[in-house]
Amino acid sequence: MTGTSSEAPHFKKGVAQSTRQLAIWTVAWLVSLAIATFGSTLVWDSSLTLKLSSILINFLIGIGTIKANVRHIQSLDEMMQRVHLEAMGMAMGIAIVAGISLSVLSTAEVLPFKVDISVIVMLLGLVYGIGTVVGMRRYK
Amino acid sequence: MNNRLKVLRAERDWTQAQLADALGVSRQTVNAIEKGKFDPSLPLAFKAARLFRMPIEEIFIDEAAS
Repeated sequence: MTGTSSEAPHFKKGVAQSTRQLAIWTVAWLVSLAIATFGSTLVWDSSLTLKLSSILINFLIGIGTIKANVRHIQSLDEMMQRVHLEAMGMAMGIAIVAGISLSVLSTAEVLPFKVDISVIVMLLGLVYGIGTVVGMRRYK
Repeated sequence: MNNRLKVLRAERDWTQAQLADALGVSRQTVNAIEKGKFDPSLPLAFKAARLFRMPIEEIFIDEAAS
């Protein structure tokens, strides 16, 4: 196969690089989140400056993670982008619908427990993951 | 949309991975196009046409027109 493989290293390398960068940013964000959460309650409980600094650092790393995620999606080919787009659409829809429903249930005091934002985040992640797997299977 | 990608690839004795590399997409995408489960964009279809040195309409066939 001559004169046809010039695209290959760029595509595969691009996806591998963007995946690696996304993983690094995600881990950094999770670590900074843990530091901001547990540090503020367990270590520097009395220092407002340290509390705000750790939360600001977490927020800034979060922006980096978002950018890394966008770059990762851009590095994928058109079919993979579609799979992720459909999964994101589903995840966003479910997060909004379920989030509003849970909020209304909570306001109406129907639920025996308090609804936490983490429930919506976990639901969003779960639906996104399932959506990606289902999308990949559909095009298999 | 139908296509002759699988036949053209087989004629050249290329694997899906080799064709994917040449087109700058994943092997899964080539597989989905060959099976007619995913229609490629116009730029990707033109890239395939250039690769096989054939007119685009000889590779991708519009079902509605046939």
